[in-house]
Amino acid sequence: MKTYFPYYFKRIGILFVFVAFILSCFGNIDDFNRGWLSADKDLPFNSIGNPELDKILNYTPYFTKKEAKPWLNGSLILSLLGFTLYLFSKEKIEDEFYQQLRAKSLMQALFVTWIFTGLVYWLIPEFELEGFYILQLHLIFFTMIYSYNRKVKFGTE
Amino acid sequence: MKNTIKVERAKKDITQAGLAEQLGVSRQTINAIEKGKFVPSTVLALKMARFFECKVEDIFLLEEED
Repeated sequence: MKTYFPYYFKRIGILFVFVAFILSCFGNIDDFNRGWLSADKDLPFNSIGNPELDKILNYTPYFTKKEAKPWLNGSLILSLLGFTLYLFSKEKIEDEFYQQLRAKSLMQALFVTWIFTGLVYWLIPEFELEGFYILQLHLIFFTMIYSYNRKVKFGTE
Repeated sequence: MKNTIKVERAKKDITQAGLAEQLGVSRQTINAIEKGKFVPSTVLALKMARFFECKVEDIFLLEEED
């Protein structure tokens, strides 16, 4: 699979993903705290969707859902862009081997995403995995599988 | 498919990195071909044959299961 982004776009991609991770931490700080406090009080996993949860936990959130939305949307867009730049940029020395490896990894990642998404829908229906989050998951799996194939399975590093 | 790249490299006294540079590919590509993990395109196979001054079938050999 041919790609046309120059090599230095990989670095920009990594930077975008790093910024996306920080934005995601800000946007999800309340859910993180709720999860932590829920586990502390032995509440079940699906209690995160309970609207009365903050009262039960005696927790005052930093953001309303509306206030957290721009952080999360920014994080999602930057991560999609970052992973895309990272994965579809040329290697230092781009050749047919990497083109084939990229195509193979993309297909393997697609199967893993299908299986993972199917299992999540089946086993944890309350988990909100939909739309662009599935695409993001696909790109994360693609990154992991491509790195594994490049460095371990077919590499010497 | 078997190959004799390692032998040919030894004859020419050239490293994987050196061969990769001559052919315009990465060292990982040469390593993957040498280990039989990756089958190169006809173009790359012909370039190798030209570099080693032999025929393609002297470098790449079909096996029973191919």
